[in-house]
Amino acid sequence: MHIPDGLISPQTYLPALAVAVPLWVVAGRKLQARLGDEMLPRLAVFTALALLLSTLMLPLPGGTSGHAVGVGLLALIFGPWIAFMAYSLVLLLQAVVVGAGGITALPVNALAMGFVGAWVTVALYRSLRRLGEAPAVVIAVWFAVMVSALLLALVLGLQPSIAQSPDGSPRFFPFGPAITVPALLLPHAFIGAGEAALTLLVFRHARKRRWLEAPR
Amino acid sequence: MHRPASRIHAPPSVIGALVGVSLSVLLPAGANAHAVLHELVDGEAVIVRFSFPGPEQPVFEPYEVFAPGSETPFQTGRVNARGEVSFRPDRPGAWRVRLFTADGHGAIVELEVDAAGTVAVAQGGHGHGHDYWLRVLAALGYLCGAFGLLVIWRRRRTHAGTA
Repeated sequence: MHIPDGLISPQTYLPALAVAVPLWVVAGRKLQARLGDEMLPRLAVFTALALLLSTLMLPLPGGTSGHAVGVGLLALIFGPWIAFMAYSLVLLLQAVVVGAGGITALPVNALAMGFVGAWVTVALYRSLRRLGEAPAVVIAVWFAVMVSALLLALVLGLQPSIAQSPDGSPRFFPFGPAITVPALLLPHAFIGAGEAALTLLVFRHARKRRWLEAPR
Repeated sequence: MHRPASRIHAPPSVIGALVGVSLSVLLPAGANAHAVLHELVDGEAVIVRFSFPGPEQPVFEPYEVFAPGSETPFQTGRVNARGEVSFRPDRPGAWRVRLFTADGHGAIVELEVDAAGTVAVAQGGHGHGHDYWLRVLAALGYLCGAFGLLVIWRRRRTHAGTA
């Protein structure tokens, strides 16, 4: 669900950059404070897993395809700040090397998927833990994927009314929210379910191995 | 005996109709409305094929083609069933093709068209799906390298602190 370059207006990505930069500074400080010899290789492995998950295209009903996000697992194991930082690195590499997403869209993608995705996952997991670990992880990850998809759908859907040519035609993304919201939410309902199941499997393994670094 | 030359006598309504038809031929082409004519044109077109990293391609998704230096589309439409856009540039320069999908995917491809109408250089977008996984592998390599640098930086800082 990465937004590529050229689809969103400067009126959107410049304010997003102004919000994202201080959050990256805070996340960088939190990461520096918690970096340890054991944590660093684990963080590298799980960040690589998130990169792979978010590049693996899955065929979906209707002839389209989509990919998982991967930030929920990072958030459950390392906490939301470090997950945000690591996922921003994933998005940067995807934009520069892989060709998914974009540089101008990086702040928007990082805020919607990295920051909001990580915080929604952790907040929901903590509040639902009394229901049991499995439902808490599954609901938290699925809901986080849907919230990120909704945010990006709204950002895209607002573009026709934010930036227009002199003749009134959209200068950037042409579809309104009536099209973008179902176009993103419907596929991500399936993607989120798959990602939630995979996250639960890996999270249980990580807990048994005592790899969890996030404050409980 | 002199016989007078024969004359055609036509009623005034017929003469009026003939004058009207003659005048309509002389009118500018724009006034000859309501007829859509066609001809087959022999020529070459630029074809851009879009695809997703997997086996799918965007089908019937909207696109825009912009001529060099223009913000008004030269051509708009929807890609065909093979994910292709084809157009005939009418001038050399940097042409842009923009593609959007409703779920927020898209691409902007810049094509440098020469005076002969052929594409000299293509920029933007990313190569076809064949090298996608090579790029993912490269990204994984950069990621491992970045964390490796972080480990080296931490060790040096620790050593500097204990020395």
